[in-house]
Amino acid sequence: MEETLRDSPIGQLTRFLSNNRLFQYPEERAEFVLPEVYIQALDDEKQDSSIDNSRSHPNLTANGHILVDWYAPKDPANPQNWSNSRQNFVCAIVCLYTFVVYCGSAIYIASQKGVQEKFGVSTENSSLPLALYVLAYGVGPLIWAPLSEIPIVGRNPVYAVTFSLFLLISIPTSIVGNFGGLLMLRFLQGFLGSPCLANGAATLGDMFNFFKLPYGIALWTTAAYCGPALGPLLSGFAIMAKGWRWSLWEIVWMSGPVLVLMLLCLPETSTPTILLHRARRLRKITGNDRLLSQSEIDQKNIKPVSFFVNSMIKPIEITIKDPAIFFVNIYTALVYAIYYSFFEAFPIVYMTYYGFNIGELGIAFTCVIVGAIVALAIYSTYVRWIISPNLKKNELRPQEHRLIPALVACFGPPAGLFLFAWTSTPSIHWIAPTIGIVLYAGSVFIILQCIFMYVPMSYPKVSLHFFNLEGGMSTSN
Amino acid sequence: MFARPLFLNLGIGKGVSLLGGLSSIGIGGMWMLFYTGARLRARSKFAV
Repeated sequence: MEETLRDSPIGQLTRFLSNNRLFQYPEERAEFVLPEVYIQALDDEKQDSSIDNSRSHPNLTANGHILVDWYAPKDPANPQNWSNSRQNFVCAIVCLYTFVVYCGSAIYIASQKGVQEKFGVSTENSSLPLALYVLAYGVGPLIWAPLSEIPIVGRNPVYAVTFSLFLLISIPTSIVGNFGGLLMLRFLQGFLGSPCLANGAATLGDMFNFFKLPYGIALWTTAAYCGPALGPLLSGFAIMAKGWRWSLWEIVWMSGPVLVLMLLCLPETSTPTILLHRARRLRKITGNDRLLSQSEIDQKNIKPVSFFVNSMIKPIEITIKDPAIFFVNIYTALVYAIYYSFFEAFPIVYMTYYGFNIGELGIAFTCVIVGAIVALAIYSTYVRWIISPNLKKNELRPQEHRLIPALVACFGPPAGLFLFAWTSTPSIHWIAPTIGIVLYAGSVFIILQCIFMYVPMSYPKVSLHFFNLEGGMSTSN
Repeated sequence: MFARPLFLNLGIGKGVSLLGGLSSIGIGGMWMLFYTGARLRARSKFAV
Protein backbone atom coordinates (compact mmCIF):
# COMPACT_ATOMS: atom_id res chain seq x y z
CA MET A 1 0.00 0.00 0.00
CA GLU A 2 2.73 2.41 0.95
CA GLU A 3 4.68 1.22 -2.05
CA THR A 4 1.77 1.98 -4.34
CA LEU A 5 1.50 5.48 -2.97
CA ARG A 6 5.22 6.01 -3.13
CA ASP A 7 5.47 5.11 -6.82
CA SER A 8 2.49 7.17 -7.86
CA PRO A 9 2.80 10.72 -9.20
CA ILE A 10 1.56 12.18 -5.90
CA GLY A 11 4.03 10.05 -3.99
CA GLN A 12 6.90 11.18 -6.16
CA LEU A 13 5.85 14.79 -5.77
CA THR A 14 5.71 14.35 -1.99
CA ARG A 15 9.18 12.88 -2.02
CA PHE A 16 10.42 15.80 -4.03
CA LEU A 17 8.83 18.36 -1.74
CA SER A 18 9.95 16.66 1.46
CA ASN A 19 13.48 16.21 0.17
CA ASN A 20 13.15 12.44 0.13
CA ARG A 21 12.27 12.18 3.79
CA LEU A 22 8.74 10.82 3.25
CA PHE A 23 8.04 7.64 1.22
CA GLN A 24 11.54 6.27 1.22
CA TYR A 25 12.87 3.58 -1.06
CA PRO A 26 14.74 0.59 0.35
CA GLU A 27 18.04 2.16 -0.68
CA GLU A 28 17.41 5.20 1.44
CA ARG A 29 16.70 3.38 4.64
CA ALA A 30 19.43 2.89 7.17
CA GLU A 31 19.41 -0.90 7.04
CA PHE A 32 20.04 -1.10 3.29
CA VAL A 33 23.00 -3.22 2.23
CA LEU A 34 24.46 -2.88 -1.25
CA PRO A 35 24.39 -6.15 -3.16
CA GLU A 36 27.63 -8.10 -3.33
CA VAL A 37 28.30 -7.25 -6.93
CA TYR A 38 28.33 -3.53 -6.32
CA ILE A 39 30.51 -3.75 -3.23
CA GLN A 40 33.07 -5.74 -5.16
CA ALA A 41 32.95 -3.37 -8.10
CA LEU A 42 33.40 -0.34 -5.85
CA ASP A 43 36.31 -1.97 -4.09
CA ASP A 44 38.06 -2.41 -7.38
CA GLU A 45 38.84 1.27 -7.34
CA LYS A 46 41.55 0.56 -4.88
CA GLN A 47 43.00 -2.21 -6.98
CA ASP A 48 45.09 -2.18 -10.09
CA SER A 49 43.08 -0.74 -12.96
CA SER A 50 44.67 -2.96 -15.57
CA ILE A 51 42.55 -5.91 -14.49
CA ASP A 52 40.05 -6.85 -17.18
CA ASN A 53 37.04 -5.70 -15.20
CA SER A 54 34.26 -6.50 -17.64
CA ARG A 55 35.01 -10.18 -17.52
CA SER A 56 35.14 -10.86 -13.84
CA HIS A 57 32.46 -8.41 -12.80
CA PRO A 58 29.57 -8.38 -15.27
CA ASN A 59 28.40 -5.07 -13.92
CA LEU A 60 31.36 -3.12 -15.16
CA THR A 61 31.50 -1.45 -18.53
CA ALA A 62 34.63 -0.89 -20.53
CA ASN A 63 34.97 2.63 -19.17
CA GLY A 64 35.05 1.45 -15.60
CA HIS A 65 31.48 2.59 -14.94
CA ILE A 66 29.42 0.34 -12.72
CA LEU A 67 26.14 -0.59 -14.32
CA VAL A 68 23.09 -0.22 -12.10
CA ASP A 69 20.66 -2.98 -12.89
CA TRP A 70 18.09 -5.19 -11.18
CA TYR A 71 19.47 -6.60 -7.98
CA ALA A 72 18.40 -10.14 -8.86
CA PRO A 73 16.42 -11.88 -11.60
CA LYS A 74 13.43 -11.82 -9.25
CA ASP A 75 13.88 -8.22 -8.11
CA PRO A 76 10.39 -7.05 -7.09
CA ALA A 77 11.09 -3.58 -8.41
CA ASN A 78 11.10 -4.96 -11.95
CA PRO A 79 7.63 -4.41 -13.42
CA GLN A 80 7.78 -7.84 -15.00
CA ASN A 81 8.12 -9.32 -11.52
CA TRP A 82 5.29 -7.47 -9.88
CA SER A 83 2.56 -9.54 -8.30
CA ASN A 84 -0.40 -10.47 -10.48
CA SER A 85 -2.72 -8.25 -8.51
CA ARG A 86 -0.46 -5.24 -8.90
CA GLN A 87 -0.07 -5.77 -12.63
CA ASN A 88 -3.80 -6.26 -13.07
CA PHE A 89 -4.50 -3.15 -11.05
CA VAL A 90 -2.21 -1.03 -13.22
CA CYS A 91 -3.78 -2.57 -16.31
CA ALA A 92 -7.19 -1.64 -14.96
CA ILE A 93 -6.14 1.97 -14.41
CA VAL A 94 -4.75 2.23 -17.93
CA CYS A 95 -7.93 0.70 -19.35
CA LEU A 96 -10.15 3.10 -17.38
CA TYR A 97 -8.07 6.04 -18.50
CA THR A 98 -8.26 4.89 -22.13
CA PHE A 99 -11.99 4.38 -21.80
CA VAL A 100 -12.56 7.92 -20.52
CA VAL A 101 -10.51 9.56 -23.24
CA TYR A 102 -12.06 7.54 -26.05
CA CYS A 103 -15.50 8.10 -24.59
CA GLY A 104 -14.84 11.81 -24.73
CA SER A 105 -14.71 11.65 -28.49
CA ALA A 106 -18.07 10.10 -29.26
CA ILE A 107 -19.96 11.44 -26.28
CA TYR A 108 -20.30 14.65 -28.27
CA ILE A 109 -22.37 13.05 -31.04
CA ALA A 110 -25.66 13.51 -29.30
CA SER A 111 -24.98 17.23 -28.84
CA GLN A 112 -24.63 17.97 -32.51
CA LYS A 113 -28.16 19.21 -32.93
CA GLY A 114 -27.90 21.40 -29.88
CA VAL A 115 -24.68 22.93 -31.14
CA GLN A 116 -26.24 23.61 -34.51
CA GLU A 117 -29.09 25.50 -32.90
CA LYS A 118 -26.98 27.37 -30.38
CA PHE A 119 -24.19 28.54 -32.66
CA GLY A 120 -26.05 28.54 -35.95
CA VAL A 121 -23.61 26.30 -37.80
CA SER A 122 -24.35 23.79 -40.53
CA THR A 123 -24.66 20.08 -39.95
CA GLU A 124 -21.27 19.35 -41.45
CA ASN A 125 -19.59 21.90 -39.25
CA SER A 126 -21.25 20.64 -36.13
CA SER A 127 -19.34 17.39 -36.49
CA LEU A 128 -16.05 19.28 -36.35
CA PRO A 129 -15.66 19.07 -32.56
CA LEU A 130 -15.66 15.30 -32.92
CA ALA A 131 -13.33 15.32 -35.90
CA LEU A 132 -10.86 17.70 -34.27
CA TYR A 133 -10.77 15.69 -31.04
CA VAL A 134 -9.98 12.53 -32.99
CA LEU A 135 -7.44 14.35 -35.15
CA ALA A 136 -5.72 15.67 -32.05
CA TYR A 137 -5.46 12.31 -30.41
CA GLY A 138 -4.00 10.95 -33.58
CA VAL A 139 -1.38 13.69 -33.68
CA GLY A 140 -0.60 13.76 -29.97
CA PRO A 141 1.31 10.47 -29.85
CA LEU A 142 3.98 11.93 -32.12
CA ILE A 143 5.04 14.06 -29.16
CA TRP A 144 4.01 12.01 -26.15
CA ALA A 145 5.34 8.65 -27.20
CA PRO A 146 8.96 9.72 -27.78
CA LEU A 147 8.75 11.88 -24.68
CA SER A 148 7.84 8.99 -22.44
CA GLU A 149 10.57 6.86 -23.97
CA ILE A 150 13.19 9.32 -22.72
CA PRO A 151 14.36 7.73 -19.46
CA ILE A 152 14.67 10.99 -17.57
CA VAL A 153 10.99 11.65 -18.20
CA GLY A 154 9.46 8.20 -18.06
CA ARG A 155 5.77 7.38 -18.33
CA ASN A 156 4.25 8.86 -15.17
CA PRO A 157 5.01 12.56 -15.70
CA VAL A 158 3.46 12.35 -19.17
CA TYR A 159 0.32 10.64 -17.90
CA ALA A 160 -0.10 12.77 -14.80
CA VAL A 161 0.49 16.17 -16.37
CA THR A 162 -1.50 15.59 -19.53
CA PHE A 163 -4.48 14.06 -17.83
CA SER A 164 -4.61 16.80 -15.21
CA LEU A 165 -4.58 19.37 -17.98
CA PHE A 166 -7.21 17.33 -19.78
CA LEU A 167 -9.53 17.69 -16.80
CA LEU A 168 -8.76 21.39 -16.51
CA ILE A 169 -9.43 21.99 -20.21
CA SER A 170 -12.67 20.03 -20.10
CA ILE A 171 -14.21 22.58 -17.79
CA PRO A 172 -14.02 25.59 -20.12
CA THR A 173 -15.03 23.26 -22.97
CA SER A 174 -18.34 22.77 -21.24
CA ILE A 175 -18.92 26.48 -20.71
CA VAL A 176 -17.50 28.07 -23.84
CA GLY A 177 -19.72 30.56 -25.60
CA ASN A 178 -18.55 30.53 -29.21
CA PHE A 179 -18.03 27.86 -31.79
CA GLY A 180 -14.41 28.68 -32.55
CA GLY A 181 -13.55 28.36 -28.90
CA LEU A 182 -15.31 25.03 -28.72
CA LEU A 183 -13.31 23.74 -31.68
CA MET A 184 -10.00 24.83 -30.22
CA LEU A 185 -10.74 23.43 -26.80
CA ARG A 186 -11.86 20.11 -28.24
CA PHE A 187 -8.63 19.90 -30.19
CA LEU A 188 -6.66 20.56 -27.02
CA GLN A 189 -8.70 18.00 -25.15
CA GLY A 190 -7.89 15.35 -27.69
CA PHE A 191 -4.24 16.32 -27.73
CA LEU A 192 -3.95 16.14 -23.97
CA GLY A 193 -5.82 12.87 -23.79
CA SER A 194 -3.69 11.11 -26.36
CA PRO A 195 -1.03 9.54 -24.09
CA CYS A 196 -3.49 6.76 -23.34
CA LEU A 197 -3.25 5.74 -26.95
CA ALA A 198 0.42 6.53 -27.34
CA ASN A 199 1.76 4.95 -24.18
CA GLY A 200 -0.95 2.58 -22.99
CA ALA A 201 0.38 -0.33 -25.00
CA ALA A 202 3.92 0.52 -23.92
CA THR A 203 2.93 0.48 -20.25
CA LEU A 204 1.30 -2.90 -20.68
CA GLY A 205 4.34 -4.16 -22.54
CA ASP A 206 6.59 -2.99 -19.70
CA MET A 207 4.72 -5.15 -17.25
CA PHE A 208 3.42 -8.21 -18.99
CA ASN A 209 5.68 -10.93 -20.30
CA PHE A 210 5.27 -12.61 -23.65
CA PHE A 211 2.54 -14.98 -22.56
CA LYS A 212 0.44 -12.55 -20.56
CA LEU A 213 0.67 -9.68 -22.99
CA PRO A 214 -2.05 -10.80 -25.45
CA TYR A 215 -4.64 -10.68 -22.66
CA GLY A 216 -3.51 -7.26 -21.50
CA ILE A 217 -3.59 -5.79 -24.98
CA ALA A 218 -6.97 -7.41 -25.66
CA LEU A 219 -8.45 -5.85 -22.53
CA TRP A 220 -6.98 -2.48 -23.36
CA THR A 221 -8.40 -2.65 -26.87
CA THR A 222 -11.78 -3.53 -25.44
CA ALA A 223 -11.64 -0.39 -23.31
CA ALA A 224 -10.77 1.59 -26.41
CA TYR A 225 -13.71 0.02 -28.25
CA CYS A 226 -16.20 0.57 -25.47
CA GLY A 227 -15.30 4.24 -25.24
CA PRO A 228 -16.80 5.51 -28.47
CA ALA A 229 -19.54 2.89 -28.28
CA LEU A 230 -20.81 3.92 -24.86
CA GLY A 231 -20.32 7.65 -25.41
CA PRO A 232 -23.58 8.39 -27.22
CA LEU A 233 -25.51 6.29 -24.72
CA LEU A 234 -23.99 8.10 -21.76
CA SER A 235 -24.98 11.48 -23.09
CA GLY A 236 -28.06 10.69 -25.19
CA PHE A 237 -30.77 10.58 -22.57
CA ALA A 238 -29.07 13.26 -20.50
CA ILE A 239 -29.04 15.64 -23.43
CA MET A 240 -32.69 15.00 -24.11
CA ALA A 241 -33.46 15.98 -20.56
CA LYS A 242 -30.92 18.66 -19.77
CA GLY A 243 -29.48 20.23 -22.89
CA TRP A 244 -26.55 19.77 -25.20
CA ARG A 245 -23.79 20.94 -22.86
CA TRP A 246 -24.38 17.96 -20.63
CA SER A 247 -22.25 15.64 -22.77
CA LEU A 248 -19.20 17.81 -22.23
CA TRP A 249 -19.84 18.03 -18.51
CA GLU A 250 -19.94 14.26 -18.36
CA ILE A 251 -16.38 14.21 -19.64
CA VAL A 252 -15.39 16.30 -16.63
CA TRP A 253 -17.17 13.96 -14.23
CA MET A 254 -15.69 10.85 -15.73
CA SER A 255 -12.14 12.11 -15.78
CA GLY A 256 -12.23 13.43 -12.21
CA PRO A 257 -12.22 10.11 -10.33
CA VAL A 258 -9.95 8.48 -12.87
CA LEU A 259 -7.47 11.31 -12.44
CA VAL A 260 -7.52 10.89 -8.67
CA LEU A 261 -7.00 7.16 -9.07
CA MET A 262 -4.16 7.73 -11.48
CA LEU A 263 -2.41 10.31 -9.35
CA LEU A 264 -2.60 8.17 -6.25
CA CYS A 265 -2.01 4.70 -7.58
CA LEU A 266 -0.23 4.53 -10.93
CA PRO A 267 3.41 3.45 -10.60
CA GLU A 268 6.19 4.13 -13.01
CA THR A 269 6.55 1.18 -15.35
CA SER A 270 9.31 2.15 -17.72
CA THR A 271 12.39 0.05 -16.96
CA PRO A 272 15.04 2.58 -18.02
CA THR A 273 13.39 5.24 -15.85
CA ILE A 274 13.17 3.02 -12.78
CA LEU A 275 16.82 2.09 -13.10
CA LEU A 276 17.82 5.68 -13.67
CA HIS A 277 16.15 6.74 -10.43
CA ARG A 278 17.77 3.84 -8.65
CA ALA A 279 21.18 4.86 -9.97
CA ARG A 280 20.62 8.36 -8.63
CA ARG A 281 19.73 7.03 -5.20
CA LEU A 282 22.75 4.73 -5.15
CA ARG A 283 25.04 7.55 -6.18
CA LYS A 284 23.67 9.61 -3.35
CA ILE A 285 24.20 6.90 -0.77
CA THR A 286 27.65 5.77 -1.84
CA GLY A 287 28.86 9.12 -3.08
CA ASN A 288 30.42 7.28 -6.00
CA ASP A 289 29.92 8.74 -9.46
CA ARG A 290 30.83 5.59 -11.31
CA LEU A 291 27.39 4.08 -10.70
CA LEU A 292 25.37 4.67 -13.85
CA SER A 293 22.27 3.13 -15.32
CA GLN A 294 22.33 1.88 -18.89
CA SER A 295 20.31 4.80 -20.13
CA GLU A 296 22.70 7.32 -18.62
CA ILE A 297 25.57 5.62 -20.39
CA ASP A 298 23.71 5.63 -23.70
CA GLN A 299 22.44 9.09 -23.19
CA LYS A 300 25.74 10.73 -23.86
CA ASN A 301 25.24 9.84 -27.48
CA ILE A 302 21.66 10.94 -28.01
CA LYS A 303 20.60 14.45 -28.85
CA PRO A 304 17.01 15.31 -27.89
CA VAL A 305 16.12 17.22 -31.02
CA SER A 306 17.24 14.56 -33.45
CA PHE A 307 15.44 12.00 -31.30
CA PHE A 308 12.13 13.81 -31.75
CA VAL A 309 12.62 14.51 -35.42
CA ASN A 310 13.50 10.90 -35.93
CA SER A 311 10.32 9.84 -34.18
CA MET A 312 8.25 11.91 -36.52
CA ILE A 313 9.86 10.80 -39.74
CA LYS A 314 10.31 7.15 -38.84
CA PRO A 315 6.63 6.16 -39.01
CA ILE A 316 6.35 7.47 -42.54
CA GLU A 317 9.64 5.93 -43.48
CA ILE A 318 8.73 2.47 -42.32
CA THR A 319 5.37 2.65 -44.01
CA ILE A 320 6.87 3.55 -47.34
CA LYS A 321 9.75 1.16 -47.21
CA ASP A 322 8.05 -1.95 -45.96
CA PRO A 323 5.05 -3.46 -47.74
CA ALA A 324 3.81 -5.45 -44.78
CA ILE A 325 3.65 -2.40 -42.54
CA PHE A 326 2.17 -0.38 -45.38
CA PHE A 327 -0.65 -2.84 -45.82
CA VAL A 328 -1.29 -3.17 -42.12
CA ASN A 329 -1.39 0.58 -41.64
CA ILE A 330 -3.72 1.19 -44.55
CA TYR A 331 -6.03 -1.59 -43.43
CA THR A 332 -6.10 -0.35 -39.84
CA ALA A 333 -6.76 3.17 -41.00
CA LEU A 334 -9.59 1.99 -43.19
CA VAL A 335 -11.13 -0.02 -40.41
CA TYR A 336 -11.02 2.88 -37.97
CA ALA A 337 -12.39 5.26 -40.58
CA ILE A 338 -15.32 2.94 -41.18
CA TYR A 339 -15.86 2.66 -37.45
CA TYR A 340 -16.10 6.42 -37.09
CA SER A 341 -18.32 6.68 -40.13
CA PHE A 342 -20.88 4.73 -38.13
CA PHE A 343 -21.44 7.88 -36.14
CA GLU A 344 -22.78 9.48 -39.26
CA ALA A 345 -24.61 6.46 -40.59
CA PHE A 346 -26.36 5.42 -37.41
CA PRO A 347 -28.41 8.59 -36.98
CA ILE A 348 -29.64 8.26 -40.54
CA VAL A 349 -30.46 4.59 -40.25
CA TYR A 350 -31.82 4.42 -36.74
CA MET A 351 -33.41 7.78 -36.28
CA THR A 352 -34.76 8.47 -39.74
CA TYR A 353 -35.64 4.96 -40.90
CA TYR A 354 -36.51 3.28 -37.62
CA GLY A 355 -37.67 6.27 -35.60
CA PHE A 356 -35.36 5.96 -32.59
CA ASN A 357 -34.86 9.03 -30.46
CA ILE A 358 -31.40 10.28 -29.41
CA GLY A 359 -31.33 8.16 -26.27
CA GLU A 360 -32.33 5.01 -28.08
CA LEU A 361 -29.73 5.75 -30.72
CA GLY A 362 -27.16 5.62 -27.94
CA ILE A 363 -28.42 2.18 -27.05
CA ALA A 364 -28.01 1.06 -30.64
CA PHE A 365 -24.33 1.94 -30.43
CA THR A 366 -23.80 -0.61 -27.69
CA CYS A 367 -23.96 -3.35 -30.31
CA VAL A 368 -20.30 -2.62 -30.89
CA ILE A 369 -19.57 -3.58 -27.30
CA VAL A 370 -21.46 -6.83 -27.77
CA GLY A 371 -19.28 -7.60 -30.76
CA ALA A 372 -16.14 -6.69 -28.84
CA ILE A 373 -17.00 -8.85 -25.83
CA VAL A 374 -17.83 -11.87 -27.95
CA ALA A 375 -14.59 -11.39 -29.87
CA LEU A 376 -12.65 -10.92 -26.63
CA ALA A 377 -14.03 -14.21 -25.36
CA ILE A 378 -13.21 -16.04 -28.57
CA TYR A 379 -9.73 -14.57 -28.84
CA SER A 380 -8.83 -15.13 -25.19
CA THR A 381 -9.99 -18.70 -25.43
CA TYR A 382 -7.91 -19.16 -28.52
CA VAL A 383 -4.81 -17.72 -26.84
CA ARG A 384 -5.34 -19.65 -23.64
CA TRP A 385 -6.16 -23.07 -25.00
CA ILE A 386 -4.53 -23.19 -28.41
CA ILE A 387 -1.68 -20.74 -28.89
CA SER A 388 -0.01 -20.63 -25.48
CA PRO A 389 0.24 -24.40 -24.96
CA ASN A 390 1.44 -24.67 -28.56
CA LEU A 391 4.20 -22.14 -27.98
CA LYS A 392 5.22 -23.67 -24.70
CA LYS A 393 5.48 -27.11 -26.20
CA ASN A 394 7.23 -26.29 -29.48
CA GLU A 395 9.75 -23.66 -30.27
CA LEU A 396 8.62 -20.18 -31.16
CA ARG A 397 6.74 -20.43 -34.39
CA PRO A 398 7.24 -17.90 -37.16
CA GLN A 399 5.42 -14.66 -36.48
CA GLU A 400 2.89 -15.29 -39.21
CA HIS A 401 1.47 -17.95 -36.96
CA ARG A 402 -0.09 -15.21 -34.88
CA LEU A 403 -2.09 -14.05 -37.86
CA ILE A 404 -4.16 -17.21 -38.11
CA PRO A 405 -7.27 -15.87 -36.32
CA ALA A 406 -7.12 -12.85 -38.60
CA LEU A 407 -7.30 -15.10 -41.65
CA VAL A 408 -10.71 -16.24 -40.55
CA ALA A 409 -11.82 -12.93 -39.10
CA CYS A 410 -10.93 -10.86 -42.14
CA PHE A 411 -14.11 -12.07 -43.86
CA GLY A 412 -16.11 -10.50 -41.07
CA PRO A 413 -15.87 -6.78 -41.90
CA PRO A 414 -17.11 -7.02 -45.49
CA ALA A 415 -19.81 -9.47 -44.49
CA GLY A 416 -20.98 -7.31 -41.63
CA LEU A 417 -20.91 -4.15 -43.68
CA PHE A 418 -22.86 -5.62 -46.58
CA LEU A 419 -25.38 -6.99 -44.13
CA PHE A 420 -25.76 -3.56 -42.59
CA ALA A 421 -25.96 -1.84 -45.95
CA TRP A 422 -28.70 -3.95 -47.44
CA THR A 423 -30.91 -4.57 -44.43
CA SER A 424 -31.08 -1.00 -43.16
CA THR A 425 -34.47 -0.24 -44.67
CA PRO A 426 -37.64 0.43 -42.73
CA SER A 427 -39.21 -2.78 -43.99
CA ILE A 428 -36.66 -5.02 -42.27
CA HIS A 429 -36.53 -5.21 -38.48
CA TRP A 430 -33.78 -3.08 -36.95
CA ILE A 431 -31.96 -6.04 -35.43
CA ALA A 432 -30.68 -7.07 -38.86
CA PRO A 433 -28.31 -4.16 -39.51
CA THR A 434 -27.36 -4.27 -35.84
CA ILE A 435 -26.19 -7.87 -36.22
CA GLY A 436 -24.13 -6.74 -39.18
CA ILE A 437 -22.38 -4.20 -36.98
CA VAL A 438 -21.80 -6.76 -34.25
CA LEU A 439 -20.15 -9.00 -36.80
CA TYR A 440 -18.06 -6.11 -38.07
CA ALA A 441 -16.92 -4.98 -34.64
CA GLY A 442 -16.06 -8.46 -33.44
CA SER A 443 -14.09 -9.36 -36.55
CA VAL A 444 -12.19 -6.11 -36.51
CA PHE A 445 -11.32 -6.70 -32.87
CA ILE A 446 -9.74 -10.06 -33.64
CA ILE A 447 -7.90 -8.71 -36.66
CA LEU A 448 -6.48 -5.82 -34.65
CA GLN A 449 -5.32 -8.15 -31.88
CA CYS A 450 -3.48 -10.29 -34.37
CA ILE A 451 -1.86 -7.27 -35.96
CA PHE A 452 -0.89 -5.83 -32.57
CA MET A 453 0.93 -9.04 -31.74
CA TYR A 454 2.43 -9.58 -35.19
CA VAL A 455 3.98 -6.18 -35.79
CA PRO A 456 5.88 -5.71 -32.52
CA MET A 457 7.14 -9.26 -32.76
CA SER A 458 8.36 -8.87 -36.30
CA TYR A 459 9.60 -5.31 -36.17
CA PRO A 460 10.51 -4.64 -32.57
CA LYS A 461 12.62 -1.57 -33.16
CA VAL A 462 9.91 0.27 -35.01
CA SER A 463 6.88 -0.98 -33.15
CA LEU A 464 6.69 2.26 -31.22
CA HIS A 465 6.46 4.19 -34.46
CA PHE A 466 3.93 1.74 -35.80
CA PHE A 467 1.55 2.39 -32.93
CA ASN A 468 1.96 6.13 -33.39
CA LEU A 469 1.18 5.90 -37.05
CA GLU A 470 -1.74 3.63 -36.51
CA GLY A 471 -3.18 6.12 -34.06
CA GLY A 472 -2.54 8.93 -36.49
CA MET A 473 -4.23 7.20 -39.34
CA SER A 474 -7.32 6.52 -37.32
CA THR A 475 -8.07 10.19 -37.70
CA SER A 476 -8.41 9.89 -41.42
CA ASN A 477 -12.14 10.05 -41.12
CA MET B 1 -16.12 14.33 -41.81
CA PHE B 2 -16.21 12.59 -45.15
CA ALA B 3 -18.82 10.16 -44.05
CA ARG B 4 -21.73 12.55 -44.15
CA PRO B 5 -21.33 13.63 -47.79
CA LEU B 6 -20.74 9.98 -48.64
CA PHE B 7 -24.00 8.86 -47.13
CA LEU B 8 -26.00 11.81 -48.34
CA ASN B 9 -24.94 11.33 -51.92
CA LEU B 10 -24.85 7.58 -52.20
CA GLY B 11 -27.39 6.64 -49.63
CA ILE B 12 -26.73 4.18 -46.84
CA GLY B 13 -27.00 1.06 -48.97
CA LYS B 14 -24.46 1.97 -51.58
CA GLY B 15 -22.29 4.00 -49.22
CA VAL B 16 -21.73 1.23 -46.74
CA SER B 17 -21.30 -1.24 -49.57
CA LEU B 18 -18.49 0.91 -50.88
CA LEU B 19 -16.83 0.70 -47.49
CA GLY B 20 -17.49 -3.02 -47.41
CA GLY B 21 -15.89 -3.43 -50.80
CA LEU B 22 -12.81 -1.57 -49.64
CA SER B 23 -12.48 -3.79 -46.64
CA SER B 24 -12.71 -6.83 -48.89
CA ILE B 25 -9.33 -5.85 -50.20
CA GLY B 26 -8.21 -6.54 -46.68
CA ILE B 27 -9.16 -10.18 -47.05
CA GLY B 28 -6.80 -10.66 -49.92
CA GLY B 29 -4.13 -8.63 -48.22
CA MET B 30 -4.31 -10.61 -44.99
CA TRP B 31 -3.94 -13.96 -46.72
CA MET B 32 -1.07 -12.64 -48.78
CA LEU B 33 0.59 -11.32 -45.66
CA PHE B 34 0.31 -14.72 -44.07
CA TYR B 35 1.95 -16.51 -46.97
CA THR B 36 4.57 -13.98 -47.98
CA GLY B 37 5.27 -12.52 -44.56
CA ALA B 38 8.42 -14.46 -43.94
CA ARG B 39 9.91 -13.42 -47.23
CA LEU B 40 8.95 -9.81 -46.69
CA ARG B 41 10.59 -9.78 -43.32
CA ALA B 42 13.77 -11.24 -44.74
CA ARG B 43 13.94 -8.43 -47.26
CA SER B 44 13.05 -5.68 -44.84
CA LYS B 45 15.59 -3.46 -43.11
CA PHE B 46 13.52 -3.10 -39.98
CA ALA B 47 12.60 -6.65 -39.16
CA VAL B 48 14.18 -8.92 -36.62
